[in-house]
Amino acid sequence: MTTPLLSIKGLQKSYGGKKMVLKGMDAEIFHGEFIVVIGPSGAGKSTFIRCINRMVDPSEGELLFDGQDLAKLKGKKLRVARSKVGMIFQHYNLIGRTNVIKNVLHGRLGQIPFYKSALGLYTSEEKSMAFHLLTKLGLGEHIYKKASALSGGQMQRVGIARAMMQQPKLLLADEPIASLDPKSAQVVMDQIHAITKENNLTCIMNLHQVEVAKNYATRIIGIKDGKIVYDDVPAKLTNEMIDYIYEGKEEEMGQPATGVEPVKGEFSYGA
Amino acid sequence: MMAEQKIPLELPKEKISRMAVGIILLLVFVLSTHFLDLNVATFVSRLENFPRIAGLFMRLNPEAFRPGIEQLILSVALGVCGLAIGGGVSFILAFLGADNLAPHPLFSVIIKGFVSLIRAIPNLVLILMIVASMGMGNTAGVLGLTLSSIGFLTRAFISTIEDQDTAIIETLQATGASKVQIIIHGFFPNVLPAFLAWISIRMESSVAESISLGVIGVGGIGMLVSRSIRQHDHPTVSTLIVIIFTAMFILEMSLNRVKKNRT
Ligand SMILES: Nc1ncnc2c1ncn2[C@@H]1O[C@H](COP(=O)(O)OP(=O)(O)OP(=O)(O)O)[C@@H](O)[C@H]1O
Ligand SMILES: [Mg+2]
Repeated sequence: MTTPLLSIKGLQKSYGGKKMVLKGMDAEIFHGEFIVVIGPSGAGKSTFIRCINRMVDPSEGELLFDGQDLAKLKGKKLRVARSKVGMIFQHYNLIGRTNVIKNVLHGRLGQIPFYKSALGLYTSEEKSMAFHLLTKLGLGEHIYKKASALSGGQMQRVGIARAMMQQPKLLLADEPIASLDPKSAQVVMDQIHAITKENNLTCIMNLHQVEVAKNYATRIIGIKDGKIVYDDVPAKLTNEMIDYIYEGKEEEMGQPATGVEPVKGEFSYGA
Repeated sequence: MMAEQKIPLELPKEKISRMAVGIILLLVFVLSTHFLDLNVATFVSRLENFPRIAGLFMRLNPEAFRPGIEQLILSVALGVCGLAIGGGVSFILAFLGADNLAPHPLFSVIIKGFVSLIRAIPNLVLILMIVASMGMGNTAGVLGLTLSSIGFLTRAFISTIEDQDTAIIETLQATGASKVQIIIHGFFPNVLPAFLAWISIRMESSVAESISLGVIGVGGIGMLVSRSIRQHDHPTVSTLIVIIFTAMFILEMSLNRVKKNRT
């Protein structure tokens, strides 16, 4: 048997010692998987994904990745580990006043000394990698535009490029299409899917839309009330199971595939 | 249709507390006027003298232009110097003292406390204290202006930094960026235009303070003004005031564009 890329053992989280949000989760994630995490609002999907790169500190449990326990890392070691994990955000999180190519190069920050990035001393390989990524994502002609001047779909593609710029071993995405219109959402999903496949990159993504999840995932993890209640291939995800996962929150299943939330320009930090 | 129903736009509690504040403010005002013993009658009777005094000021003294402008340059230089040093110090203090970036919460508490302390002392008193301990002179003036610039700018810078979205930190952290990199790449692009605006706003008050410093013995055009007032040299006073007014006007006009970028 191959060793997992990431193995999650007994992951628990409670914010400020109050209610348990994650109630002990176990999962092994293997190289090349495209995992989609589904579950109703408040189930703990974001918390789960954000524990993995320690945007949120787990209360309990192990996160074995690349030979070390991410849950125990601190300081410089944590930064190095994070640089191997790319992240795509719902609200893109670009630096709005900074141009597109520089936003993409931010993906290198964890891997170069600060004086180099401060003086813009990226290597020519790094710069051409950024340019190629952007060209591939259809943004070749926008590289000098301010990030805040892009459309939501374009911003998210810059977000993808930034994450890929890290040359990550694992890609995390927290509802990457929830703020996009259906058409842009489709483009963005296709691009994330294609780029991970091409690079044989492992991806863990939160989605609200079960149908979209079924289309893209190699494996679906269903979270309900802080626990993993389903963990298998999409084909085995029955309607009963879906009903069970969304029990009491049925209205969320029927959501349109995309465009759930309006695009909020402020999240590009352009203001 | 629902039955006609009165829907108050605020809770009675809020209304009462708002009225209470209004009454207290009114009371404070009445008490203060009473305490100051403002005598409207005397004031009005003295108004008679106004045309005569105004007449004295209607003339200019051409000979005062040259020294006036020379001393104005000194005043501006003092103001700019205090601003530059204060700006540099504030820049560092602000990134250490903003809640969202402080290396330790204690930094934030101490820096904000220090700034509140400076701000609690009126600038003129602050400068007088420095002059009293260091003696008159340009150094004392610059130090005083530096401190009052720090009081203003550190607080302004901190509020701008704290206004930034927390997601900036998170996002760059996720790439493995260090604190310094987060500041340089995440914060600088967003805060620098605002900082520049704050500096321009402070620029005016720094020069204005520097001019008034002349009155308490630090060099500059303020010194000339106070001297000529003491000598009842009205035309010179008028000339100096014209110079000061023109300078402040030009300063204000030239800074207006930058100032709009605040926040
Ligand atoms: N920073 C925080 N502090 C305190 N409680 C939090 C915090 N973040 C999330 N929670 C709580 O943890 C629970 C799970 O939140 P989480 O964001 O992980 O859910 P989610 O499954 O991602 O929901 P959604 O689909 O709405 O994004 C919620 O009850 C939420 O209120
Ligand atoms: Mg979420």
